[in-house]
Amino acid sequence: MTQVLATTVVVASLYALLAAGYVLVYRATRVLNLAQGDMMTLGGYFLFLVVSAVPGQPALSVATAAALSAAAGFAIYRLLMRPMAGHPIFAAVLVTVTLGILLRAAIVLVYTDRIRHPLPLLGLANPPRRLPGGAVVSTFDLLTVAVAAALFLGLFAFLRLSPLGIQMRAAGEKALLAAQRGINFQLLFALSWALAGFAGALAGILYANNVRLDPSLGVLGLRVPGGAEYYLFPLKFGAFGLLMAAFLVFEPQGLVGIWRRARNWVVLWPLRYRPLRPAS
Amino acid sequence: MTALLELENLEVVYHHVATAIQGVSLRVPPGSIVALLGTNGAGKTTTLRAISGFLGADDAQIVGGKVVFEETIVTGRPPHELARRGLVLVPERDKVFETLTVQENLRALVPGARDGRETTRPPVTLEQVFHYFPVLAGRRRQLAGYLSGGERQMLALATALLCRPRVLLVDELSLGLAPLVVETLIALVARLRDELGLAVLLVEQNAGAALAVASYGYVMEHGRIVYDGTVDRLLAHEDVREFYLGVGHRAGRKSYTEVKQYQRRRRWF
Repeated sequence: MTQVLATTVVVASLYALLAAGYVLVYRATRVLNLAQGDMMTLGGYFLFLVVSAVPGQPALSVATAAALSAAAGFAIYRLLMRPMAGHPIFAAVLVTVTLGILLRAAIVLVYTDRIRHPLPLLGLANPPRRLPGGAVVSTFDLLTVAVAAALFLGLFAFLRLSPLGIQMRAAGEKALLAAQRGINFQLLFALSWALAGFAGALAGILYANNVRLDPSLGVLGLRVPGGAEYYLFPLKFGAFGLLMAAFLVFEPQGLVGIWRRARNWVVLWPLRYRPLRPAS
Repeated sequence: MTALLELENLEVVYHHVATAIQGVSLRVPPGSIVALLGTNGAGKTTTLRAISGFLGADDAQIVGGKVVFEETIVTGRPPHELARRGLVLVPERDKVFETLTVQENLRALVPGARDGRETTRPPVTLEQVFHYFPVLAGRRRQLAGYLSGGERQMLALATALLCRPRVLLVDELSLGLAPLVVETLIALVARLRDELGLAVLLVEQNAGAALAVASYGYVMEHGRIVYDGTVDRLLAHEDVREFYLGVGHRAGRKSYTEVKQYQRRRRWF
């Protein structure tokens, strides 16, 4: 019984780490980042990349991998999500779906889909620990719980007390008003993506050391918003395909929207704005 | 006297086709309240948004003219930069962060930097804000979403003050508020001008309230400035009296034909 309880807490902690990434991005930019699971995988592979180059340096490797993931999150916002401003949120969510697929494909291209174990390369062991109640968990299980608790305490303090955190929540509610109050909300949104990348990397690193590292680790992430998604794995791509087809046909900004915009452009062409005098 | 804020022939187009304002010029001298009057859709809010900055998502372009603030051309700069320079807007709606507490609202901003040469910018503190708006002090821990309309307007003014503005742009201070609250708020704006030396551009439909404290006024119709002058001149103008203050020379109720006449006359205002 205590074993079940301990395992539940450990698994919940891992999901909590993943969920932190979802919540950060959602609260700031109102986009559900379906690539969060793959950003977790990316964090694991960043660790693998670093330990392959410099083995036997756990602290350095983990810090570098987490920093690389945060940088990746920042870059994803600047390159992919920022151009989606002013478009329907749903379109931005679809971009994250594509991003997840691309990330996974890129990882397979570079590292193949072999299962990896970065733990020996780090020079660490993962011995089982006996808890007071009689349950047995691994050392990295305990570490997962500790890291999740620390991250949540840190995030709570950051979002509640620090000026930057309050500004981030403000920008998440009303970006325009935030801008009118001097807040560079684009920077804060990028920061929220970077923090999500950081949280994802922590989850990925812990899971890679504790269990295994393979490109489909990100499926764990889909269980957070999807619940039963794991059991529907074979159906997933079919479901996304249907979703995208439905979006294209029915969503007001879809095919119909493109047609309407094209027609409006033709109709309004004679009425378009023309300056009366050459611009000075 | 050189103006703190000056608009020259500003033209704004929405979605590449809809011209919202055309050739708007106005001046806000330091330490004065300037009123911008006009009916719905006249382009008042667009003018303020053009001054305080558009976002890419607004799909609006400034296609002509310029905004000059402290002798620097700031046309088309992003809103957060303009706010830090000291052009701070109190918007018409969406003026407080409803999911944040009052205290957090007062912290959710980046005040403009104060370097050595900026002596004209008042260093507003939290204590000062609570001194001007004592109601907010008692509601610090409440969510801003639970505030009443007047309290929200006070909170919006308070956060705008903490941004350390040079020019306060106020959009529809009186919108949806009881006459007594409007009177209090307008008096407060006048007090801020006197005590902090703020320049205020006051956009209003409630012309009576605005002209009570303003020193100069502009009247907008269909995206153009159609009339301007000192408050005395505006108050003496017969059409302004009739259309904005409702104190025309004709006594009694107007008949339908007279209203039609009114609309036709207004077009040639």
